Amino acid sequence: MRNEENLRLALIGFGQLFEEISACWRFMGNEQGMHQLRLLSADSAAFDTATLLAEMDPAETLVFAALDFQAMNHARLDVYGKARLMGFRAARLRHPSAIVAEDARIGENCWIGAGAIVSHGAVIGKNTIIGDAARIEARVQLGSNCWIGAGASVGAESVLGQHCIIGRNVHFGSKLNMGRHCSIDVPGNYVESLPDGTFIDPLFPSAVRIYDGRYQES
Amino acid sequence: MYQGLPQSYYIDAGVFASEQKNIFRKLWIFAGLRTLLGESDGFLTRTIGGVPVVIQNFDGVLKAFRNQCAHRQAPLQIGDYGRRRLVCRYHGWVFNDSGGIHSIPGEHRLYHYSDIERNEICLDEFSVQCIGNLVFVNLDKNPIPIEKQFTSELMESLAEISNCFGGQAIHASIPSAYNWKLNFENVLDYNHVPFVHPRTFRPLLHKGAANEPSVPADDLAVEYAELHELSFSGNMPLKIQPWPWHDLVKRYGDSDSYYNYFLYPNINFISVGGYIFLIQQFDPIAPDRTDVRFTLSAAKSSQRIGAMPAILWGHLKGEKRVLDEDRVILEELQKNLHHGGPVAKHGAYEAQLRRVALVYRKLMEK
Repeated sequence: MRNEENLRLALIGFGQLFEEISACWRFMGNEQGMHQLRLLSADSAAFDTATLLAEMDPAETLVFAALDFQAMNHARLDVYGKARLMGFRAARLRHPSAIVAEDARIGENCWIGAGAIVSHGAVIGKNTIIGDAARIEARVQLGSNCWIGAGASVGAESVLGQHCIIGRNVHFGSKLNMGRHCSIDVPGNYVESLPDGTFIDPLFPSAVRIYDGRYQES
Repeated sequence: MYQGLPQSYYIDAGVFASEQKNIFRKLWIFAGLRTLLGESDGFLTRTIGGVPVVIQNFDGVLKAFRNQCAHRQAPLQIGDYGRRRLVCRYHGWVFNDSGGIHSIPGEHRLYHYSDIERNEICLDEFSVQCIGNLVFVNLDKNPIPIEKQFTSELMESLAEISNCFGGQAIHASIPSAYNWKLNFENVLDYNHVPFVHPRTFRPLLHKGAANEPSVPADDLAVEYAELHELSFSGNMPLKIQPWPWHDLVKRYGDSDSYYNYFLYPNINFISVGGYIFLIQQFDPIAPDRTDVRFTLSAAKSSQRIGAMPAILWGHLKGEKRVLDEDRVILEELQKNLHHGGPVAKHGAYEAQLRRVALVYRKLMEK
């Protein structure tokens, strides 16, 4: 852990991200130990978080909510949000092999995976996960509660809204916009912006959309 | 035993063309949700009976027109839903709420229509009716009264349940390689559930009557049916998994029920516990091609639910998996159909399929 070195970490969650951080913790140069607080499922995550953190001191502990992208990252947000409400601060974690530009801004409860690159001027909102070998190019803005899969990339100056998911090996081009609550989970190159609530998923042959009666006049 | 329709009715291009003309351009067809057209200039587009249709909100009044400019037939609106004035993208013609010309850029320099010619240039208008939040359109010049298609009791029930929809809806279109009638027959056939959906849908049913239905033998053979008999509703108990968001919405009804509406010719509308609403429409594309259109909403909430997009997306994926189990069977069934093949042999529990076939034949004779 690069910041807040003297605090002990409480890693709370389950799933792939939880296991990955647990496994590489000892290689991350941390002097402090780590509490592993394993949740059983996402269904009662916030409730179980309160129970698991009840005995810990917010002044002595940093938390990290490590859940995958269940419910478009809302499950991880529930845990992170619950911990914040209890007075805990969240860590910013990155794998030792990740490369992060000095002027990049990384929010709380973000993880930068092995071999990932975050280029200069990039802004990454809180509770966003950057997978192994992902590439976030210059001046990209990622909203809070996003998930960038392993090997994916986001082109320079693109902007992603909150709660977006970019699946593994998806390449989202430069100077594009992705609205809130979008998901691309079919590998390939994408060169057009996506409006709010757009889902590109192997289960559906064409894009799925959420409509709410409020449209940008075209 | 009842005889089903000949196999040729599911594969023949001539039959398909007659269906488009005699059913989809004659009956009231579901087009979309009223809540998604809430603002002035909100629109939706559909193709119904092979005809491109746009439904546009003009200051709160919904109007339906052929979605082709009266000038050179370019589409006036593009996209399933959106918000934009009724303006042709090709040459900028603007149309009013009667389908007449509001303005033509460069009209006096370029077109030189006489007053009589100009007044005759008009979009074809179609009839629109709303039942609660459900928008129906009828392409016939003299549409049948909607009460002939849906009973007043059914419309009241539809209005009540559809007015519980929240403001967001998720929409998907799934191309499927079978005739549209197979899917409507499939949703009427509850006996397929244990065999086709043993792990997805069946476990949600309570043990007993709902899971092992039985019907008496018909006292009188079904020899006659009216159009309005083909659309009806029912409900049965269902195991509902509780979710925290359920406490934040006003559900329809107060029981853990599976509400099921069948709207002839091509809608199956269900609600899971009054929390989730799914409209499945079987849109005919070709004799052996159907677009299954899903429109899924949650019940209205008393406060903003930030996770609602994730909730809708999660439920949609679950419903798609159930549909895929049906599609495997129906696509294989369709592949085997051939002229002169044997017809279906319906038993007592399939009497509703018999009614559908009787009315279908009557509609096709017209």
